[in-house]
Amino acid sequence: MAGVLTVCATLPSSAQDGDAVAVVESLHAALLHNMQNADTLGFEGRRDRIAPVIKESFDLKFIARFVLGRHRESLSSGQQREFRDVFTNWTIANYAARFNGYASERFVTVSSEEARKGRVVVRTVLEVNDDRADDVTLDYLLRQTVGKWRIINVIAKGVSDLSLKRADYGAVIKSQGFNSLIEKLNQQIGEFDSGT
Amino acid sequence: MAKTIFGSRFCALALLGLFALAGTGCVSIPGEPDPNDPWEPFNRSMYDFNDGIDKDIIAPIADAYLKLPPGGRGAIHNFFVNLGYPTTIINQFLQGKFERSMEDTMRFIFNTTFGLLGFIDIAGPVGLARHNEDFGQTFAVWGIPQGNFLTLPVLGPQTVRSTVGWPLDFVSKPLRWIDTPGEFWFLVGVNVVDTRARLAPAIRLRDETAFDPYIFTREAFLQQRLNLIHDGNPPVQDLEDLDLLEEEELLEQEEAEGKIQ
Repeated sequence: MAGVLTVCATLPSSAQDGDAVAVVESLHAALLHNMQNADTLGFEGRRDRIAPVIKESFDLKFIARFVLGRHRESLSSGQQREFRDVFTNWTIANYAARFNGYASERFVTVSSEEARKGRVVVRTVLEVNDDRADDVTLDYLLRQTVGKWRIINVIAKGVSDLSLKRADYGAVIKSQGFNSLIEKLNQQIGEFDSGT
Repeated sequence: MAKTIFGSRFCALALLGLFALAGTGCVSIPGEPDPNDPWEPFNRSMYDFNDGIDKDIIAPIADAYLKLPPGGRGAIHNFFVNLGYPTTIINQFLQGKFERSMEDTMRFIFNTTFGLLGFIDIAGPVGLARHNEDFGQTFAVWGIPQGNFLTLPVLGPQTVRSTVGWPLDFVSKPLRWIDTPGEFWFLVGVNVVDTRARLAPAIRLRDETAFDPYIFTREAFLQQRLNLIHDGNPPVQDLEDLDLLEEEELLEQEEAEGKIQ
């Protein structure tokens, strides 16, 4: 149903890389399906479809701990759990809201390479039109936990999502407190849902 | 006349900067200053100033510009990319990328001649890829430290290093050879609107998801500069922090297993 619309331009360099590539391509296939059926599914349908894929593809527990940065030390385990749950919901809602239409875009897998500490970088490109200068590079950093490859960072056109979020959320915690961050995340989830 | 235009442009920017400084108060930042952004109060006030200009003047014009046919906008963008190409060529050479400098020279010649002053990108489809270099990147390749993050009035996010490079970028562009002030400022205006229109998706993402738009802009800018300096292959960020977190996770796991046993 999703269609094999992601294209492998090169073979992975090892079997491990191949497993990591498969995780990224599975995510892309799910996103493409949402894009191609955006209006039919609506926000809730897209969210419900992408939620299991996001939870499976991303190491959200690790990402949530990372983006809290040094502020994590001052939070209770309950607060950290609360943040992880809200962050997971936010991530799912964000992907459901962002990938909400189709204009013949293509995800192309370019290469994969091993990185330090056993991680893998899968390099892909989102082709938005015929002008290659408009391509959006999407590099995924994956690590293996409990025998599964999971994404821990997305670098879009050279900008690390992990770094952006850690800086942004850290600024909110520093100036307004942890509860304010939770409130803002929940508010954005509501805005994604209502399309505002 | 070109010197007058050159001088007048710098005077215009300096006056704008003075207005910006006079019109904004000191922004107080709660908590300790960020050691990675020691000029944060000043930068935030400049960010607010620039954001005001963008929302009130540039963004509405860019939104109207986006209604033009994509082909037309693409041609205009190609023209300005080509116009800035001598800067790229010079800096490829200065960075020791001689082969790329030759390729980019050919690109510039092809597009200027057969591509009608660059409106049509003839070179891209024949394999001469587009590159983007400037003096700030050259200084980085030469090992000159980045310096503090700096937000300038009108010019926006910079580093100390890229700020020093900016005047050199300006004098290396054919735009400065235009004698007529009206033509010069018209082209500058169209270039600004075209750039703003192309940034519209990124700015929309920032406005819809960032809780602190200044922080978002700062981090995105610094990372994109790193990406440019390393020609699209920057070192993976936050590696040490990732390693530390994984070690911490492993320790917790071992402790938990120790407790269970």
